[in-house]
Amino acid sequence: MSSIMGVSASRGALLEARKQLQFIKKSTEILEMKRDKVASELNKYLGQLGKREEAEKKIMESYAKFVKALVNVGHEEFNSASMVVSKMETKLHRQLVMGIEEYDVEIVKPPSVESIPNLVVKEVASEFYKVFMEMLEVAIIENKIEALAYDLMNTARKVNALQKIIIPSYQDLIRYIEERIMEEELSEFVRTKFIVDKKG
Amino acid sequence: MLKSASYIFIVSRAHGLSTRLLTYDELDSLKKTRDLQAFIDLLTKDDYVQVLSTLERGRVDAATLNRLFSKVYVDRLIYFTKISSGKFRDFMMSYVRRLEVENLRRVLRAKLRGKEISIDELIPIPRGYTALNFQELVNVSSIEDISYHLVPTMYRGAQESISIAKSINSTLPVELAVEAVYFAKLLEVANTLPSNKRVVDVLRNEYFSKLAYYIFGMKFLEAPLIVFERYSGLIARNLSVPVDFINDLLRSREDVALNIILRSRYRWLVKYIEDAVERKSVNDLYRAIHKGFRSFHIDLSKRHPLDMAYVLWYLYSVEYEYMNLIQISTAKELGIDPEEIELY
Repeated sequence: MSSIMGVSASRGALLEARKQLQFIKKSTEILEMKRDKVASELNKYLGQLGKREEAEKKIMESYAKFVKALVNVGHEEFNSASMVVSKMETKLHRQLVMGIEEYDVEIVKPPSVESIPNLVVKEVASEFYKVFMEMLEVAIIENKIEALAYDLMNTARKVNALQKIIIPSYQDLIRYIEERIMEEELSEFVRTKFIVDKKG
Repeated sequence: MLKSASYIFIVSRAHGLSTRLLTYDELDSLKKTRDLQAFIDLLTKDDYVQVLSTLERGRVDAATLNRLFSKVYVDRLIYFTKISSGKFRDFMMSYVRRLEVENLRRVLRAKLRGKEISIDELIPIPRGYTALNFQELVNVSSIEDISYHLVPTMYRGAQESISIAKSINSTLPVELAVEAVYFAKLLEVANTLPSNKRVVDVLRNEYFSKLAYYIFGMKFLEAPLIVFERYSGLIARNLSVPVDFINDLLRSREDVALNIILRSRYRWLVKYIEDAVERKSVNDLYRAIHKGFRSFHIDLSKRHPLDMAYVLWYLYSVEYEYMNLIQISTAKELGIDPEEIELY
C-alpha cells in the first residue's frame, strides 16, 4: 500500500482526510471572520491615532506654561505647593478579547491637584493632569492598535497558510488517495475478472 | 510737623541701604548673561558675594541659589529690624513676621498629607523673630497638631480653619486666615507710628493686591470662594472697606468684580490686571499684580522720599530683588531667552 504525507491510501484514510479538510475549512472561515473583525476594530482605532499629535502639542504648551510658572514662583514655592498633592493610584486591567490582550488603566484615585494652594502652580498642575489623561488615552489606544495589528498579521498569515498551503495539500492528498483507491479497485477488478475468465 | 530723630534716622538708613540694592540696569545685565555660571560671576554686590563664594564653581543649580537668595533677603530684613528703635522696631518686628507666615505655610502644606519636612526646607529665621517653634512644628505628625502650636500666638484665630482645611483637603483656608491675621496685626502696629497715614495705605494696598490675586485666580480656576466669606469681616477691617464690598467681590463675575474695584480706593490695580482677567490666566494675573503693586509703591516713594513710605519701598524692593533674582536664576537654568524674562 502506497502512502503520502505519512498517510496510507486507504478508504479509512480518505474518510479521515475529508473530515480533516472539512474541519480545516471551517477553521479557516472562523479565522477569516476573526481577521475581518480585527481589521474593522483596527480601522476604528486608526482614526484616533491623530490624537497623539494633538496631545503632544498640548504637552508642549503645558510645558511652556510650567516653565513660565516655575520662573515666576521659584523652586522653593513650587516644591512647597506640590507637597499637598496626594499620590495618584491606578489599576491596570488586562482583558483577553478573541485571544488579543487589551489593557485598560483605571484611575482609582486621581492626584489632588485641586488642593494646591498656590494658584499659579494649581493652574499648571490642572492643565498637566488634563493633558496627562489625554496622553494616557492615546497610550491605551496605541497599545490596542499594536495588539490588534500584531494579531491581524498573525491571523492573516494563518489564513493565508491555510488557504494557500494546507487546504490545497489536503485537497491533493484526498485526490491522490481517491486516485490510488480507484486504481487499486480497477486493478482488483481486472485481477478478479482475469481469474474468473481463467476458471471459466 | 517736625519729625522725630528716630523717624529721620530710619528714613535716612533706608536711603543709605537702598544703594546696596541692585539697580534695574544691573538686573538687566544679569538677565542677559549666557548661563547660570555667568550669572553668578556677574552678581558681585557685597551682600551676594559672601553667600555665593561658598559655592563650588560649575556645580550650582537654581534651587541652591534660591535658598541663598532667601538668606540674603532674610538678613536684610533682620538687619533693618536691628537698626530700628522704639515704635519703628515694633513695626519692623511685625513686618518680618511675613517670614514666619511663609514658614508656617510650608509646614502646613507638608503636614496636610503627613509628609516629612526638615528645618532646612524653611527660611532660617533667627530666634526672637518668630513666636512659632518651627523645630517642634516640623515634627508634628498631622495638620491638626499644628493648631496646638498656634494657640499661644497671634494666629490662634486661624485655628478653626485647620479643620476646614482638613475637610476640603487644601491648606488655602489656613493660609488665608494666617495672612489676614498677619496684616491685621501689622496694620495695628502701623497705626501707632507717627505720620502713619501713607504707611497704612501702602500696607492696605499690598494686602488688597494679594487678595485680588486669590479672588480672581480662584474665579479663573472655578474654585469655591466660600473659604473667604468666613473671614470677610476681618478682611474688610484690614482693608477699611464695608463687608459688602468683599462679599460682592467674591460673588460677582470677573468683569463685574473689576467694576467693583474701579469704584473703590484700589482702582489703580484695575489697569494692571484687566488683560490677565480677560485672558483668565492665573500666571499673567500673578505677574500683573506684582508689577502693579511694584509701580504703585515706587511711585509713592518718589513722591514722598522723606516719609515712612520710603522705608516700605526699601523693604518691598528687597523682596522684589529676591523675586527677580529667583526669576533670572531659574530662567538661566532652564535656558530661557533673556527677552522672555520680565523683571518686576
